[in-house]
Amino acid sequence: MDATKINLTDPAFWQGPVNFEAFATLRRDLPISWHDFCEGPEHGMTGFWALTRYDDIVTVSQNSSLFRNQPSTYIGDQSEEEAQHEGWFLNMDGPRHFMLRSVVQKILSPKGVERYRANAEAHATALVLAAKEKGEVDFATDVAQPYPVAVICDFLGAPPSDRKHMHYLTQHALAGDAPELGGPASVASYFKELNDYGTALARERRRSPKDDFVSYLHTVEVDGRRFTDEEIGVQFQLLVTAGMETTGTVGTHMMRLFMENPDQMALWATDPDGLAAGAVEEMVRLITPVMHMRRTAAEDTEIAGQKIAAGDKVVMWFISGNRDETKFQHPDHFHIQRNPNPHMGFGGGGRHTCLGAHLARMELPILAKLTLKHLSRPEPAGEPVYVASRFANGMLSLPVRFNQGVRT
Amino acid sequence: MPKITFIRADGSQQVLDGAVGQSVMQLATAHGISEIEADCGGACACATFHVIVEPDWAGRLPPQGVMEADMITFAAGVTPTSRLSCQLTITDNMDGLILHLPTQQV
Repeated sequence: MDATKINLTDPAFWQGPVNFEAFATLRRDLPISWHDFCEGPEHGMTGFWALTRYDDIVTVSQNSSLFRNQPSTYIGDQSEEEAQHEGWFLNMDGPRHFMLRSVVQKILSPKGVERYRANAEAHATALVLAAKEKGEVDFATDVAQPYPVAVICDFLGAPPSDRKHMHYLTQHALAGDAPELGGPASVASYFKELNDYGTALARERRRSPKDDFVSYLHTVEVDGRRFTDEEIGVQFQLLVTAGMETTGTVGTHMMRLFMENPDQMALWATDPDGLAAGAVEEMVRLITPVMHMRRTAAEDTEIAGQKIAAGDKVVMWFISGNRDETKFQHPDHFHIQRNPNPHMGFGGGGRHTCLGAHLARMELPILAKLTLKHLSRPEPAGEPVYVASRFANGMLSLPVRFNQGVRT
Repeated sequence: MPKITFIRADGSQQVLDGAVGQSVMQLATAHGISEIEADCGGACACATFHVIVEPDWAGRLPPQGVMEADMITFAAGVTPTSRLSCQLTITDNMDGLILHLPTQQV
């Protein structure tokens, strides 16, 4: 494979499962490469540097004064205002980012997420037992995706009747670059609809607060003032999008990994609680639900000998760093006892590290344990469908049947 | 095992045996030192791992990386010897290290 011929902006590159061979080629032959946007709605936007090696990604991720999240973490071109409507404090730097993130940080801390455990267990149990009853399901749409959708909607305060719609909007906002989900031009409209929904919910909770996160945000003061309904709406959107697609993606791929690696599934089943923490980290490494994030160079600099100009976009391909041969032995293998496992599935470290990582670390072992207990001997019941997105490593469909020939 | 002493704001002390390779934060939280709130889990994203190094020890620890230097500016009551305990990996050279715990993290 010729590394100079690989264009990460080409929609064809993202059809089907991730092209890991291409990323291995880039890591080996052209670890920092320039990509211009192909034909399509993003044609003519400024291209970007693609970082594919683990160490280079860490360098950029951890140096937030040199590599900024403003004006945007979107790979194409976007104004600062548009970016903050879509990503809120994800697309900010400095003290304002820290203050806004701190509002949520404690609630989503390792201790904080314990408050939501019982609810997560109830949702996961209902979904897995329903799948067991049916014997054959689409694990993506029937189990793995609805689970974190229900947890985050309850957390935020969105009623059960709106869960499906929230997930539809989230999937199209995050993976909308995929042609079958509308294409890049449609993405902004899905973010806007989520913001508007969050704003309406904030308005409602201002009148009659409940025990949910949107109501809580009305009680918080940052910089000496309360949030507006619109600001709460954007925070609602940030958490709903971040909390649904990612964990749903890992849960879906978990079933694919079980079918492809029955030995690892059997091993995990021998000690579902004891092995869960490490196994979840390994799934997040291999799957990397958010495949990249962008930074922007604040001044002229150099990364591993490559000159980078002030204002250049630098894109960290976590999906590649997580399979860097120099960091992980047999990087393509699913090895639930991998140790150490310094993966970058939640980011490469630093102030923008995934805020929901501990929520995912609470949710996924619950789903895994129930799956191992109730959905034995999974086998494919149809063709899996991958999201053709360069951002979200999702699956639209994973038909599976269980418990064949097993008395349950 | 390197012994590390944590001194609370009220003067009470707790001496813990650290394991080489673990972070000071991991050692402290595993022993219930609640002053280290550890909200982000150790990714250097929250500034709630603040400790103040006994001045004699400050120069003997590995220097701050760029990520720690950025994040520590957000901790409350930062002093010239402040560090984020999530970024301090325990080594044999840290036997006898003395750390003061702040009253408030951020």
